[in-house]
Amino acid sequence: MRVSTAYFTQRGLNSMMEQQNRLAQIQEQISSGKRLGSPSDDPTGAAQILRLEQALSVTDQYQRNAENAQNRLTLGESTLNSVQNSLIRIRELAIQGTNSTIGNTDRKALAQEVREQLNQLVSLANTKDANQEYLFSGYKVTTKPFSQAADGTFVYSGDQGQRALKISSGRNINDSDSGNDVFVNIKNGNGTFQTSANVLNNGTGVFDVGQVVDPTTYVADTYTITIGGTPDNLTYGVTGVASGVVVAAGTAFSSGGSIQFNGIQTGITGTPAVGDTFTISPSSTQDMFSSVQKLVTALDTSISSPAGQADILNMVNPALSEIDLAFENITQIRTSIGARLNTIDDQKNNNEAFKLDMTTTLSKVKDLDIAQAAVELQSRLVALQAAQTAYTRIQGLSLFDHI
Amino acid sequence: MPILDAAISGLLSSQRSLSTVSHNISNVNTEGYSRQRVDLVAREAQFKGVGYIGSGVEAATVTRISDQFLTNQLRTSTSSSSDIDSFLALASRVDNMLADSQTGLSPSLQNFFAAIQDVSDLPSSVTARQVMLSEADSLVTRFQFLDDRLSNLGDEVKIQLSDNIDSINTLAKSIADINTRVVAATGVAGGKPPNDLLDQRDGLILKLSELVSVNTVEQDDGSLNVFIGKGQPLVINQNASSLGITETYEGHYEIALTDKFSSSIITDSISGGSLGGQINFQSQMLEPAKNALGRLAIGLAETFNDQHRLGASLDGDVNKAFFTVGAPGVFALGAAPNNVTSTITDPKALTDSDYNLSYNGANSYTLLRLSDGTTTNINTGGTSPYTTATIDGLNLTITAGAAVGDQYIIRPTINGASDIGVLITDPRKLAIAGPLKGGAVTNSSGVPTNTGSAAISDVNISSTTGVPLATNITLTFDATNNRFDISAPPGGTLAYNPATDSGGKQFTIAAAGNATFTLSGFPADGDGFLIQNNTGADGDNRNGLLLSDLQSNRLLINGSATYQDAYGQMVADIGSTTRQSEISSKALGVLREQTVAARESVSGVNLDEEAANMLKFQQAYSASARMISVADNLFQSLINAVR
Repeated sequence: MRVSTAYFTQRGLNSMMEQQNRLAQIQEQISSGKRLGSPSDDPTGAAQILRLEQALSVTDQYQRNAENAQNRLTLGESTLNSVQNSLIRIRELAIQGTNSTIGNTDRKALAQEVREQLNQLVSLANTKDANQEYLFSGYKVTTKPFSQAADGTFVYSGDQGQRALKISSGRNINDSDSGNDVFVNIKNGNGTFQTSANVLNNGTGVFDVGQVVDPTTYVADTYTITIGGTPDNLTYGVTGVASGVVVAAGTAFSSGGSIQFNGIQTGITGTPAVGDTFTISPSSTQDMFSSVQKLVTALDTSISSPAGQADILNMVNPALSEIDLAFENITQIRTSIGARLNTIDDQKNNNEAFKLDMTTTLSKVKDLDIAQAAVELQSRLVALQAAQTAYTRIQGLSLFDHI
Repeated sequence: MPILDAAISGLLSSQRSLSTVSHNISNVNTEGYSRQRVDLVAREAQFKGVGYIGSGVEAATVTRISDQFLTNQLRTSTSSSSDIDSFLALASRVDNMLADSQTGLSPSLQNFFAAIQDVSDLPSSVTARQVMLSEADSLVTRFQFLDDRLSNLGDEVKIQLSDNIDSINTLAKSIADINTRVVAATGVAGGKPPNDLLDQRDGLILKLSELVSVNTVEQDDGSLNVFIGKGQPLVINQNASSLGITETYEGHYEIALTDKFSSSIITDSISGGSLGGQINFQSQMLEPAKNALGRLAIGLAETFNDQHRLGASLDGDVNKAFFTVGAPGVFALGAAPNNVTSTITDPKALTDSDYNLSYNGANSYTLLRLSDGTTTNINTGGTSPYTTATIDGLNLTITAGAAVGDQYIIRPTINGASDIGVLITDPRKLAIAGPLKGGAVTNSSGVPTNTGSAAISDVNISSTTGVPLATNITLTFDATNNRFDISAPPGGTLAYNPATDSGGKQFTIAAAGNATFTLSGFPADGDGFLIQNNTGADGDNRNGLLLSDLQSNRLLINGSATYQDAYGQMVADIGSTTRQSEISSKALGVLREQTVAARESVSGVNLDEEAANMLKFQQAYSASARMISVADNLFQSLINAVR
């Protein structure tokens, strides 16, 4: 084939330009460290990079959320630990206070300490986290959850909401517990029914807080146990408001003996007086502070007779039972917090593993294989040099030089 | 004296040949030059009894060595190659705009949703809320920035189109002019070709083929008729038509051809050359990209608004939109009245196509989806205004007044990316909380009064009907009938049998925003649950979580893509179109190179060849000169013999 002289030059030039162009491409890749300059270099890869980067950014966010949840839960857990310590101390004080050898003055001192523990409890319940959000007010994080009304009752101003944070695409975790769940929604008495002794009782009968021995036959009702007979031969009878007579009047009474009816088992120790009454009614819901307040009231009472001592016991015993229930409730919540913290730990590990996985994949798609690029750079340099050499050699030849 | 005559003819024709060699050598680097050759023929012999005695040589004509087939092929491959090159040059601009994952939409999108989660972590923090608003602003700015860049590219395409059209018009005039000169020169030379004029004309046509695809038909008188695109006449004999550019609707440009008699739009017939590439870029990349971006913006704004409306702000507002949404663009073409409006009803179903609506008369309209030619017939039945059912996520509202043949262009998503905005400026107004909450009835101290063990779940809504509640709703358990009685309004009952439903039963109250909740456990007779407005719930993040879920929900493109997917798809589409055109550009470039090589191998000048020819004709010239001296010797011999 004929080759025209001008085209000869052009072709030499074209091949050098082409080599230079390729060289520029590889230089760009090496200097940026990226395999892809623009989406057109690998359209699928470009879309994949966007997806992976989003997955990474979202997972980073999940990790941040997990940290936040962890912080709040850890604070909640340590607060509840203090609450339990406080409850243990209150329990000790209350038991000291029921000691029959203790005098009125000493008991009042105990009452004072319980009162301080109560204040401590309320302030724990009003704990704020690092972000100035109340820990135990449900959704109403800027509302102080617990306060004491003028009449001494405790008021919960939070709500029953429980916030969740997202720690992975399918997993939300509650980062706190509402004050309602922790401090308020606790049954009084023994959890099923509450016992009380008539304050006008003259005997020294101390009413046991009782228990349900047979839930299938338990009938929720308000029952009154009335002591009858003679001081030497005491009897009792039980009447329910709705159930009527459940234990016939005149049943022989023994101190410390079991009194059973409708699935309930209880007993009265000491010596009640004829005409004394004891009441069992279904539990209602009561906050923890009111239970403690009951103790304070009980310990603050001045007494001057064995009957007075029995009154204190009749007040302290149900309150202690309630405090046990409150303690138990908090243990459950702490268990749940522990489980949640574990879940968060697990999920954080999963998230880290996922991130590592994604980063590796992303790097494969996005980053340049430097070794391979260096080899390619070398071979392209050689190709360019060859093109240049060929051009100068051939360009020097002309028939005119020989005429 | 035949010897002398023959020798002189040899001298003269060698001279002609040598001067042609010289012409060829001089034009070795002239673009489009075809090497020339003197065609030598032996002169007619004379009969001299013994036979025919030759009488020398004569230069019959000077021809250029050119192959019409290769010339045409070069034009075709030049058109295709410059078509794809100009498309690629523009497409790469879009491609590069999206190249860096840091300058695209992705980072803003991710930061926005990260900010939502940060607010969900700490809904009471006005700072976190402010950050989310700033991120929303930067997301919106990013949409507008990308849209602006695309619009600027559109402006640039317009400038390039008019520059090219100016060049085409100039070339057309020059070709018509050369036609005139070729006809004259051919006449003067008695039919011998004016080689250099022909080369010049071929050069101009080759230039023209860089701008638009060209077809030529040669006339008997030597003039050339030139047709562009799919047969639109540009030069006929010695007359040139001219092209012009018109904006048919905002940002959309068409090409018009004007000859002596009329003017018509020929955009669809234009192909090849950089003009073809630019028109393709406008219709195949720029407008779809702008539409895809707009569709994403509208989809994001609408779906985010839908969820945002279902949440409550720190001040208890519900049913508030977060983003402004760009409305569809409706352009009445020509004299058509502005009697058509359009609204978006289903952002999921939006396409990235534009639509043409035309009035057929008798209340009948045809809606044509431009991307694939799907048509929908609309009959208003004489109702005015008439609103259509949802077509591809759109409603059209048509009032009377159109004339038969009126045309409209509907661009559903054209304003999506430019008009998206953030409506909310007060961080307190972000609707992060759920508007309703459920809980057990409590006494004035906040202590639950229920004696049973039943519980109510969170209350979530899916509409804003009746929200916020005018009065709290109390559900009171009726143990006799195993049901909860709903306080009025709205009243009614919810059947709940603790024996079978204690594991949890879900209920919905339509009148309270489709409030959905689950009751579980064993309620006692008279136990109550309260559904109420979630006032003061600064720490509630239920709607925040749902908003952040939007990021991973497939809400766009008929439920097949997340926001990120939709953007990724757009990037991949643009990337692969650019890549395809890169590959085509290389292939067509090679094809063009080959055609150039083929043409050059026929028509190009080779200096070595010319050197050899030069020697050949130089020797022939010397030999002829020698014959003259031989003739002289013969003549002297004769003279001496008679002296």
